[in-house]
Amino acid sequence: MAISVKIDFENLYEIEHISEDLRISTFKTELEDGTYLPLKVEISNECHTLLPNVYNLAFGPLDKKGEINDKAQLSHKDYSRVFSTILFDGLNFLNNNKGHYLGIDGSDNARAYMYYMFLQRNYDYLSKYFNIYGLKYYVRITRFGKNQYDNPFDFTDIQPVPDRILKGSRLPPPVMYNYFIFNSKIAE
Amino acid sequence: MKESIEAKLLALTKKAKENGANLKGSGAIRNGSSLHKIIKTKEQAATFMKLLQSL
Repeated sequence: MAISVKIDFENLYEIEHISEDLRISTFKTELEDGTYLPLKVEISNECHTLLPNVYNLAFGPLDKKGEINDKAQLSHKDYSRVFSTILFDGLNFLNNNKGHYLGIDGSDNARAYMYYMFLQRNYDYLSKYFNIYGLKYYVRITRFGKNQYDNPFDFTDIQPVPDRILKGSRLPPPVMYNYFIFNSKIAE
Repeated sequence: MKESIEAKLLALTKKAKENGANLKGSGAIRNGSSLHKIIKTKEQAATFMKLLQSL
């Protein structure tokens, strides 16, 4: 099912709780069945092991251990509002932390492609606030290989240097970026 | 930037500074699936493929 997301920082859920360092916040999303579910947004307090000044942004409902389940599949009533709230939270963090970048991991091919399409469809709006980059810093095991035991690893597809994402740039799903990073244009 | 959005950002920052909740982070840095943490080099990939083929 295709999900259409329109990012609009005028259409947000209320961020109910936020930590003093702006790294952790929670808000409630309304699901299609009318119930509300808390979502947590967490920005890591250590930069990425491979990318200096890049801090991972994770989001999702909480699992039984109280940690973010970033692979949960939810049916939100308003996807636009959910993602607008998450990005707004990220923007606020970046504006208060000059020189920092936030990174979002496409935990699988489908999610990575979904995020890329969100970025492209909202490029004009998002580019007012963010510089957006993509990179491929690890190889997906199922990326290539017609037969079960063919080597599926394509190390030539690695792109460890952030690539500025431009409006309209097309990238087929099999070679999609697997990590997206962005910084605030205001805090540059 | 629209004034209303700027005002919202300032309000959120103020909320954090004044009422910053004692929220705990997991401390974990999420870098994709656990498999990606293991296979980072061609040599590791070759070893993994040999293992698959031996099954």
